[in-house]
Amino acid sequence: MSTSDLHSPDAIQERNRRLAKRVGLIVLGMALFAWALVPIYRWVCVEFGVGIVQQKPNNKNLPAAAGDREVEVRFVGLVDVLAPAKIEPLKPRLVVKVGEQHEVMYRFTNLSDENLDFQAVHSVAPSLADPLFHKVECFCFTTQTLKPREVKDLPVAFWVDPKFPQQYHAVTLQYTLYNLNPDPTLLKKRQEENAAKAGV
Amino acid sequence: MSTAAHAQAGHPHPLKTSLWDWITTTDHKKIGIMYLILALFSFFVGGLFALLVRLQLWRPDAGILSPDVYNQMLTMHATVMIFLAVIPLLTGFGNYAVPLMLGAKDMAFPRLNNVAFWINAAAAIVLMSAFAMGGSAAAGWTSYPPLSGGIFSPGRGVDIWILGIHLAGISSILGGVNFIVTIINMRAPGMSLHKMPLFCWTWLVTAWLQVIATPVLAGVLTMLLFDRNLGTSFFRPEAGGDPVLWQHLFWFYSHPAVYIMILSAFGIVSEIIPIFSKKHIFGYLAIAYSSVAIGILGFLVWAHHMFASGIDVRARTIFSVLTMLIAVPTGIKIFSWVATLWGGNIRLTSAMLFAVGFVAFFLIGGLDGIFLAIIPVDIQLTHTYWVVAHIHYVLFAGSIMAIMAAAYYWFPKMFGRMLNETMGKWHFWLTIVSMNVTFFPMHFLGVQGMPRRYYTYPAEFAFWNTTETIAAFVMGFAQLIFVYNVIVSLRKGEKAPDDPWEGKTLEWTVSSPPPSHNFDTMPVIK
Amino acid sequence: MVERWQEALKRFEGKALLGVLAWGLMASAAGANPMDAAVTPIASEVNSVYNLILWITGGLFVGVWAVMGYALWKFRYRKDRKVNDFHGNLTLEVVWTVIPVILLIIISVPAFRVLQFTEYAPKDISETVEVIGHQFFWEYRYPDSSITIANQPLRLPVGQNIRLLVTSDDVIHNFSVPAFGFKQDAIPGRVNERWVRVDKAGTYDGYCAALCGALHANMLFKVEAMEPEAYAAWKAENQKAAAAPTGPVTQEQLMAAGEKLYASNCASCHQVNGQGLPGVFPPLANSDWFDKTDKNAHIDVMLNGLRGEITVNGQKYNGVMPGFGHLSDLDLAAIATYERNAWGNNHGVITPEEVKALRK
Repeated sequence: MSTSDLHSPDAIQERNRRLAKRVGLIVLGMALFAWALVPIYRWVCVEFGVGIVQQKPNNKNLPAAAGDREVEVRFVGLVDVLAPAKIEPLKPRLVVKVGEQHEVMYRFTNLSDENLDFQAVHSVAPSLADPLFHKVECFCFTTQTLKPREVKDLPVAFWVDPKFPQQYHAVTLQYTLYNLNPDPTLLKKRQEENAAKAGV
Repeated sequence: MSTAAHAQAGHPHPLKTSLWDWITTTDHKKIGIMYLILALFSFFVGGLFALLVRLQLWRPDAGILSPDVYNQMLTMHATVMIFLAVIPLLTGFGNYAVPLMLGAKDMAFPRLNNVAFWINAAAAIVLMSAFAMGGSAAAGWTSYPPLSGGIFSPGRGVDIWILGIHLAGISSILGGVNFIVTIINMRAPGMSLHKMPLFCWTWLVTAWLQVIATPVLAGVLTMLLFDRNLGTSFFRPEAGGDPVLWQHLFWFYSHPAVYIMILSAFGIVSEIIPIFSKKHIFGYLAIAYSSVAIGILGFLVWAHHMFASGIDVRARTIFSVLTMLIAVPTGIKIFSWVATLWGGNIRLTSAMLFAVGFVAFFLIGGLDGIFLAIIPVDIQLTHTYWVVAHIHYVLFAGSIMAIMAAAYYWFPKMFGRMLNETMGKWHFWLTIVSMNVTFFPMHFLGVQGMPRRYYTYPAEFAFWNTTETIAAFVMGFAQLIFVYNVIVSLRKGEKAPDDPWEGKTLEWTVSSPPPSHNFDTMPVIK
Repeated sequence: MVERWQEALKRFEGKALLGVLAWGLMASAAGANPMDAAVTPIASEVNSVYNLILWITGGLFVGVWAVMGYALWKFRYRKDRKVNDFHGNLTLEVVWTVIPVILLIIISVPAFRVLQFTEYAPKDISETVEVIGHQFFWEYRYPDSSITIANQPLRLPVGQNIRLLVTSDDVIHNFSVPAFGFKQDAIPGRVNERWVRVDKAGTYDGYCAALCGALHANMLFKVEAMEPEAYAAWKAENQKAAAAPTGPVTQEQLMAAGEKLYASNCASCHQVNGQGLPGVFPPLANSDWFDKTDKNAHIDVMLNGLRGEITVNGQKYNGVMPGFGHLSDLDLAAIATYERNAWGNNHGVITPEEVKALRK
């Protein structure tokens, strides 16, 4: 091919279109990558325990014998602003041995005159302890319903993995109660009530 | 053909064509100028928002803006400056100069170029329309959910914002494709990559960043739009979502975005400093490849914006180390620019003053960023005015000053007229003084703990805030000198020769302004 | 005219540069080093690393400016200057690549040590406080003492290790106490843990440091670090207050609440002074209606309203009073008790249980 052919406008356009198509594929690839990041993120968080909710029962088997190491477990409960409810752990803390199963109860109160469907969302601190905090039974595995003004106690059964890192001495389990049918128009009212209670 | 020859040959002035010609033009030079005009206007709009913010902050409880309007102003100041001002300003200069510097007659896809510009214009209209539709987004340009979600930002502001940025992103991607193909395929014979001007190198890297990162922004914006309007749960915890996921995806784009905003500024400065020192650039290869390094590293550091969010300490450590590494290629550039001055014969024209000012003051932004790379210190300084100082040193003392330098440098080529040097120097010195008085004290406020995005503040922060407000107004008015200079010079400026600066790149071998086809004969590089 | 501006420019240029430098130095001296209010070990460590970085970056800044300033002066334009087109030097380039790396390593070593220190809480934590961000105030819970306070200073004991569990019930906030050397995002659905030990008693400023809505700047708070005895006393006092509501309600409490509720619900007709409007609204002050009827009748009127002719203090009334059953038992008991005991009345207390018993 002579130099002039290589540099003819058509040849140039042809090369340009080919390169543009390849670059375009990269654009498409990155767009798909963005959406793929959602499940990737979830997988990374679960695998490496970097902190997202894993609301499934744990299949790991309880070790034959409990270890010697003691860990303090703290229990926290709070409600989302749009949930007319109360959640409180019946015990704020428990000192457990690793590999030993325990159960704590959380008390749920529906403060409204309607049924309340809710989801308890858990969070563990430190976040890398999440995969090492094995929940055998938890009200957070499914959505729950409270009848009007109902007060109910629900359990969490758990054990702490012996692999729980040595640099940490305590693990915190927090539940946030979310209303599954929130009414956003009530936000202002709820916030005013909360503020009034706080004396703001 | 030279300017004089063109005039003699009776060729019409290339810029004096009809409005319709401008609107439909595929000439990269005219498109570049349109980008610059729209972006300059946007710069003043964004600047107006900033002055309103500073007015509200002139003293505690000033009561000039309501808290919600204040939050709209700070959100739109950043949004407009990033997507409608800085990026399009750099795109304008890139559009104008890159084909010329490569010896090409236009960009690879001239019609796509036109489309990309008008999409950018549409983005501007959409973003600004929010003010007529109940108020703009007010959750910061970072738009973190749940604040930016449907419950806490009811109304249309955030949805309109999302749409506007989608449009800006599309323009950016189309432009990026165009630049990549142009730079890779359309160089004049003999111009290997290692003979290519550094402005084109930095545009090549920038274009790749635009093409790779912007689709991720599009993805995450769409997810927020769906969460707000279709009840999906990407970021809503009650249904298994996570607000922190937004932060990861948003910063995955927005960190490379800051390199999109600075790399071609590095390129501009790398062109101007050698010319006005009468030397070759020191370390051409180092500057070229350190730009590539910054582009790549830029994708690996996004979570340094999230050190206080509680993400795992192991992840934070990795991000901190990678962030510190970026200082190395950046330092290489700064030292190379200083070394370029050494042994030269330096003419401090307005263009050169802004270029040297860039090196001197962007340096502050680079150095105060090191504090933010170190996690325990970042925890103390993040979310405070220290970050505001850092941002504005790299973006104003950095990008904007480089853009000013480019304006003074290429204006003669673009319009065939010289800008008034005396006005240029006044513009420079007033900007330098006012800019430093506006932004330097923000470091102090940050160390004292004053958080960002506060519409009012405790009395102990008042002195610096009042100082900054006064200086910011001076800075705003100083930019008007430039506008006045442009208007006056377009009409009665001294006629510009082909090569007023004794330049070394191909645009100075053609007339000022160039003929529409750029080169009468294709240049061959030896 | 142009010459005047040129002349003025010449005079301005040099002054401007010197002015900026001088101003920068003075401002730095005035504004720098306010991170000295470090009252926790974390803050002291952070300050040391900050100072190290400040020296290194300050040195780099001065170095670059010195060389650049010198070059701009020494190589300024001269018509007859011979240019030395020096544009490459491997040694120089290697040196200025390696030295920044070394400087970064020097900074990293203490930095990562401090990170470890801030991340891993010591074993002997004496108090845990849950910090909950709301739009637009902070709530603190002391779970081991059953204390909940909000919109008040956070009380902490001096010299003891404290665990803070930070979260939010609505949007992302950030709990920031500069004197303690940290800030932590408060993210809804997530708990973030921080440990702190305050070594000096005092009151410290706190800020919400994450944009959380319109009143983001109004979530300022204080932290009061108290000597252990004062802290224990404060806790004891607050535990009593926390316990009280579960016990029986006192007449004082009912009267206090009742007065407010009466003013907003009843005074429009029966008047603040309880006199009513003759012929239209019956009086409650010194009213013989309370002598003629019992508590249950009063509760019934409050819950269901009253219509039909009645005679009070010798005057006939034939209006319609609406029911107030939408108010809670506690509220109605408070109003009723207030009405029975204000203005010189003395007709006894009505309890929430008595109201509840009469609801259908």
